[in-house]
Amino acid sequence: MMLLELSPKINDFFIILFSILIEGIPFILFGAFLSALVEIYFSEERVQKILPKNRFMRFSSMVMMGNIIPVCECGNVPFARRLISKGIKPYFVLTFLLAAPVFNPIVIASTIAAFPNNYEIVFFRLLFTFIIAVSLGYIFMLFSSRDMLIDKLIEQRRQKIKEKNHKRHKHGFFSIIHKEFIEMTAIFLFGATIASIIQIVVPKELIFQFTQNEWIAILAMILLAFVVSICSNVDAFFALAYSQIFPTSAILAFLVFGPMIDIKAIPMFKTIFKWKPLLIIIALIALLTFFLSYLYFLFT
Amino acid sequence: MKIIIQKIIVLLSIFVMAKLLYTNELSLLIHPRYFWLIYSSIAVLTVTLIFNRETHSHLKNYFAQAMLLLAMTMGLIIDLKPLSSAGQQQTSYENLSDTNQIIRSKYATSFQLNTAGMSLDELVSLISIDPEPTKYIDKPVVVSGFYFETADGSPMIARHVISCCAADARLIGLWLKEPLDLQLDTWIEVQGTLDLIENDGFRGVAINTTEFDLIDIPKNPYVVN
Repeated sequence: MMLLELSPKINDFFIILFSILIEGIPFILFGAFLSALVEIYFSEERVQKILPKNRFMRFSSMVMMGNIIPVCECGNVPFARRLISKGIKPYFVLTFLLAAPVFNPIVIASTIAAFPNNYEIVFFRLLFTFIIAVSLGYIFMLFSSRDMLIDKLIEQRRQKIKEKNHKRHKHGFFSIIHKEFIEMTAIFLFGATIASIIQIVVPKELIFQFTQNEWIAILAMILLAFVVSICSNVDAFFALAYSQIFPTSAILAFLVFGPMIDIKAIPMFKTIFKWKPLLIIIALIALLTFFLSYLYFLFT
Repeated sequence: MKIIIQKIIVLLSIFVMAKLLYTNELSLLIHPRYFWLIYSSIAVLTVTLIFNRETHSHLKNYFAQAMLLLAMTMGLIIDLKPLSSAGQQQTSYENLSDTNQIIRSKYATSFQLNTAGMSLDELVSLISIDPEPTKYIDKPVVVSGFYFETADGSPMIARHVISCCAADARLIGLWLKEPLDLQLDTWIEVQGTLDLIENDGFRGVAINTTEFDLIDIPKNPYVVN
C-alpha cells in the first residue's frame, strides 16, 4: 500500500495526536460501556436509593465512586452525563468528575509504583483531590447550581421524565456504547488536536527554566499538566521523571491538577457544563491546587 | 444512512489500531506496557459491531463525526516516523543538561564505571547520578542515537524517552565535543572516548568522536522509562 509520507514537524504532530488518541480510546470505550450499563440496568429510583441522603456523605460517595468505577478523565465524562440523565444534581456529578480520575485503584497503584518510597505523595494527592472535588461541589451547590448545565442535557432530562410515562422504543446496550464512544472520541479528538499543536509550538524543555522558587515551580507544573494532557492512569510515571528537578510541592500540584482538567478535557467537559461555570471551575481548581501545594511546601 | 456512518467510524477505529499493531507503529506512539489496552479495545469494538442491531441513529453532530472519519482515515494512510527533534530545536545547552536528569533513577542500583558496554540511556543515567566529569575521562564508549544540535549549536547524540506515550517524550543524550557533518535526526553509532566539556560555566561529559557509522532507525526508537 502506498502510504503518505510527511515532513518532520507534521509527522511529530500526528505522532503526538495519535499517541493521546490511542491511549485515550480504551478508557473512553470503558466509560461508554459503564454508561450503557447504568442506562440499561439502573433505574433512576435505584440510583437515588443507592446514594446516601446526607449531603456530605453524598459528596463523599461521589469521590469514592471512582473506586468502584475505575475510569480516568477520558472515561468519566460519558458516565457523568448518564448520572445527570438519571437525575443526579450537577454539583454532585462535578465532584465525581474531578475526583474519579484519582480515586481509583489503577491510579493509586500506579502512583505507589512510581513513588515506592514516598507515601506522602500518594496520601497528599488523594487528600488534595478530595478537598478540591468536594469544595467545588459545595461551591456550586450554594451559588449557581441552576445555571451549570448545557441546554441539550436539560432537554434530554425533560425528555426522559416524559418518557417515563409513555413506553417508547429503547436503545440496545451495544447501540448506547457506540453512540457514547463516537461522540466522546470525536470531542476528545478536538481537545487532543489542540494539545498536540501547542506541544509542537512550545517545547516542553522550556519548563526547566521555572525552577527558581517554589511558587513559580508549582505554577509551571500546573501549566505543564494542563498542556501535556496525559491520562491520570499513567501520569505518576511522567511526574517521577521531573521529581529530581522540581520540588515535591510542584510534583504534587501536577498530580492533583492534571487529572481534574487539561486541554483535552475541556471540550469533553463542555458536553456537560456551559462556558461560564466551566471557566470558573478551571480557575478554582488552579487556585486551590496552587494554594494547597504551597501550604504543603510551607508545612513540610 | 446515519447508522452506516457510525458503523464505518467504529470499523475504521478497529482498522487503525490493527494497522498500528501490525506495522509496529504503535511503539512510536505508546509505551509497550499499554499494548494490551489496544488489543482489548479491538476485541470490544468488534463485539459491539457484531451485536449492535440498531437500524437508526440519534447522533447528530455531523461535523464531529466527519472530523473523526478524517482522523481515522489519516491514521490508516499515514506512514508514521519516529518523533523528530524538531520540537526541541529551540532549547539550549542548559535546558538539555537538566533533561538528562529524568532517567536518573534507572540504573541507580548498578553503579559501575564499565562504560564500554553501556547504551546511551544507561550512560546518561550513570552520569546524572555521579556527574563529576573527571571520573569519566578517557573511558571508551560505543553508543547509538540520532544526531542533534541545540539552538546554541551544541552537538549531541540523543534519544527520546517516553514514560507513557509520545505526548510525554523528552530528549536525553550525551554531548559531542565536535559537531558532525550530518542532518539532524540522522541515526548514528558513535565510537569514541569520554572527555570533559566546558560551556558557559557548565561542566559536563562529552564524547570525543573517533568514528561514527550511519545506522537504520531501530525498531523501538524510544527509550522506555
